[in-house]
Amino acid sequence: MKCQQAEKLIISLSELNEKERRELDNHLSQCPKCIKFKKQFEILHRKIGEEKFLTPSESLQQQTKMRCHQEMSSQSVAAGSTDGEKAPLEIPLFARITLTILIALLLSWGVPVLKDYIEKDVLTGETIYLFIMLIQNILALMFAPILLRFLKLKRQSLHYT
Amino acid sequence: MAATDGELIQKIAQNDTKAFDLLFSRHKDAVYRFAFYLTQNRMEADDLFQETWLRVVKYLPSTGDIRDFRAWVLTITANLHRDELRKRKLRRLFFLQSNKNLDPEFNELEKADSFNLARTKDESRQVDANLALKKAIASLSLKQRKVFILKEIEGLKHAEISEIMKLPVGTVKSLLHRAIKKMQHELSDFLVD
Repeated sequence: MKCQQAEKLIISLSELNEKERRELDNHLSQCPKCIKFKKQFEILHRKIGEEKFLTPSESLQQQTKMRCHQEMSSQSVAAGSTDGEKAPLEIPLFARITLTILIALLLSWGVPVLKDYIEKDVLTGETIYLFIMLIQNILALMFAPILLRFLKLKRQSLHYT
Repeated sequence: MAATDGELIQKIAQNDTKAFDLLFSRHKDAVYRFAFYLTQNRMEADDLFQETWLRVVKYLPSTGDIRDFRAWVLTITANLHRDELRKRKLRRLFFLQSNKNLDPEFNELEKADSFNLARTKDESRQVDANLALKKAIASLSLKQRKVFILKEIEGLKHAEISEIMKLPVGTVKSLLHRAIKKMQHELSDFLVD
């Protein structure tokens, strides 16, 4: 057995089978270099055992536990909402006001413009502007849930940091 | 009799926060030690520690049978750290940031030590040995450091380390051998009876 092989066996001492252990003992009985390696390895092992390692601070532990509990409860709410009734999505006040203004604008200005376009069949600048606004609103409605979820997550992370 | 990790995991899947706290207190030190020696930076270790436990909570209910929770949680830590290094590499590529990441923690320890004159010779030698051990661990390459911590400090088996690091057992043994040789070289003054 070569010394390098013996050294690998020395550092895996706790996992050796009977045969490997015998081979190592045979090698050690005639190799002072490997005996020295084994001795130094044992001292290193002991020093590591004596070492006081860093531990997480009390505040970090508390904060981590709190965040994990929060995550657990939000998971259970999410699981509950898929099982039974869906939890109502909280719509912020600014979104409600914006939506009301947009609907009012569309009804007071958009409907006459659209009626005009249907009757005269002429594409004016005003009609194009209306179409752009319609597309913009449809897109806003499509992305609103993503935006709301993002805002909610941001609020949660601010709360815990 | 104390509940096993497996029993606690089952309770956590049913949102039992007390079971989580118990599992947390059992493994927090191992996770933190590993995070600290990977990052070598207390602040980054704090983040990695917290992120690891959040992942545990997120994936524990959906993950089926976990044979060894400690190995599983340390795998999460290792993966998160690897992802962070990849992100950092990209950031460096785009913003030409410097690669210096070593915490002044070791230097602070050294400074504090030189000012402490009231220490006895034995105490000083013990502190020197501790500091030298930390420095020697820091001098290892990332892979060697991971293997060394998992084997010598956390006491995992080669097969478990191989699973965590996604490396063949033979490679794990070679990395460990090289790490021990380097450690012995770095600590030659302290490895005497």
